[in-house]
Amino acid sequence: MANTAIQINGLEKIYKGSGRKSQPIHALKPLDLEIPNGQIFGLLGPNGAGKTTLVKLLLGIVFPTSGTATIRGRAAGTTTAKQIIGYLPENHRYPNYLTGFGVLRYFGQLSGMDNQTIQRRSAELLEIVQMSQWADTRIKQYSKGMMQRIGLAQAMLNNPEVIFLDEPTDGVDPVGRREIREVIAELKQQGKTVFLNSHLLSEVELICDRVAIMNKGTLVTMGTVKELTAMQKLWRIEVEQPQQPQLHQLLARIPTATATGNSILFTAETLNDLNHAIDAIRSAGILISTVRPERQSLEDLFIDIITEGGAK
Amino acid sequence: MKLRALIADTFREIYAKKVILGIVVIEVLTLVITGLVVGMISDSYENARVTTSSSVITAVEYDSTEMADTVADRLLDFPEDSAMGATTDTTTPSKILEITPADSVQLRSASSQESLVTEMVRGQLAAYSTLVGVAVFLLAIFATAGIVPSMMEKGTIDVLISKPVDRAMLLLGRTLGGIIAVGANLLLFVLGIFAIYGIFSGVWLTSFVVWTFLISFFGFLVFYSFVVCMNILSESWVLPMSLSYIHIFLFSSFLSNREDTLYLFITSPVAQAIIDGLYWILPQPFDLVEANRSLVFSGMVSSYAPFIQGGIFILVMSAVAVWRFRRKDF
Repeated sequence: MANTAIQINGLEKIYKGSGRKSQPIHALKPLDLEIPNGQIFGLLGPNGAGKTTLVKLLLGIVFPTSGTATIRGRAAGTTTAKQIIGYLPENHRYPNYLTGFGVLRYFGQLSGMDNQTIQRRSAELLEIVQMSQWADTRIKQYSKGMMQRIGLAQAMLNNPEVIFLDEPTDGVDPVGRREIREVIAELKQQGKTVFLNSHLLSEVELICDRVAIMNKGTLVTMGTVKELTAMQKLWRIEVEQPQQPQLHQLLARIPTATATGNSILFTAETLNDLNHAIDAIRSAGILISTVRPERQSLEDLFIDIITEGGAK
Repeated sequence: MKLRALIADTFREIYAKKVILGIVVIEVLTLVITGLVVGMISDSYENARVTTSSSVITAVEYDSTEMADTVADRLLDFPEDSAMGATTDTTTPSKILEITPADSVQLRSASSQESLVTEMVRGQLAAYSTLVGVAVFLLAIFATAGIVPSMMEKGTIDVLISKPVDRAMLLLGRTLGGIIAVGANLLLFVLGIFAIYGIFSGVWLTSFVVWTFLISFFGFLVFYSFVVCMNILSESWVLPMSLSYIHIFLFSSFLSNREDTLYLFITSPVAQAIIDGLYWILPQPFDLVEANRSLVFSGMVSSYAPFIQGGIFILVMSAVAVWRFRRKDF
């Protein structure tokens, strides 16, 4: 428990229908999840998967229908839990009559920080997100990317232990994205836990220690990027130069197999299927040099899961 | 610190949106026009000062005979305190000519010239207090109706709630910002009117400042509590503002005068009971404005019911607003 950043037990959210005839919306089905300290945790899922509802439940923006959650041992949604949280929402709107520094000062005051600390942290963070020269400019003149940067600084202002970032690179150019990724990596170095919601799968793949995929309010799968992309059914077997008759004989015996050059690719539902295939190759007189799972990209996995309807 | 930050931000938003600026412009124009008009009629104050005694000084409708007596007493006692040392006819009580059956009174008095001017100013400011009351309802509600909804906009409320601030404090800071802005504007405007009359007439009627500010501000609080509550329930600013205006400018006067208007057509006891119930449940701005006028003019009020009812209304609306806001999903 001491090493747990976020602990979720049976957390569930059902939104009541707004009209007389509208049905309740089961935004989040009972969810159990544990996120260790100091990790970058990526949450993926299509629109309406329940990602934002989960984050809002953890931040106390919506209230659970059932279940509980804690953040570093503090009940989620309480003022004490919020003292150690930073949050960058998607499509955030800051008062446009404030300057960049004004935004940080305002939210710093709401976080209970004294003016001296706000000044010091703001200067540091504006430097980190490369917004120092725009600190005194009103944010109504900011571009989307600049807003994201100031939002990121706002989320880190109170030196939180757990940071929730919802699409932090949305609207940011490729150079800026890399810089934001570096900031997130630096947060991890400092021992912070980062909870990242993103549609950019390649980005998640690059920086997240663990990834969960949600669909239709359910957690479909979770693991490290390596585990998730390796746990697929596709296998690649490298063989020594096979003779054509041998190969034809083999492909006839394994319907899912395809051969290209020295590689045979095939799908095995179970390890038993894999061993049967190896037996078949060997009995065909073909020499095996390597057997390895064929790694999918996170995007392939994501599409597979979503198109399957999340019924894994 | 947190509450102060919320209030300060609300101020910034109000002034950035230029709504209050628009109201200030209207107020300044009103003050300028008032200054010009009062300046033009300032001769009448001078004329009044040289008017001989025993003239007819005023004829005013009062809400009750007791009120008329009070005014009469004050007028007749005035020379004793007069710094002008004007001559006084000690037989003045016999000079109260008439108290009509319709509770109106005409006073003939040998009172001093100063009391005549004071009563002129008192009457004009009493009329002004009605104008201020109506203007406050109209403009202040318009200026503040959007304060809470703008906080509840998606992307804004998410960040605010993620901060270690109790939801009740968020709501309190936001509404207090609006209330203080309106209160400051109202006070400055009332002081402006007070100063204009004081400068031109020499009569500094502090009761106008006290009652007009307090009652108009109280009336604003009554309706603002309703607006905030409806803001949270409906997530709209147009609906509560519209309902407030409809009540202030239509229902309120009918409900207050229901016996002389509605009950001429509605004779069913059940329907009348329902209308009576509505009168006691809903705010009574018409009666508040009347009470203001009466207090400025005579220092008396016929009923405290609108104040008690308004106070209870504020408490109920505030409680519902806080309760709902603390449990609302955003």
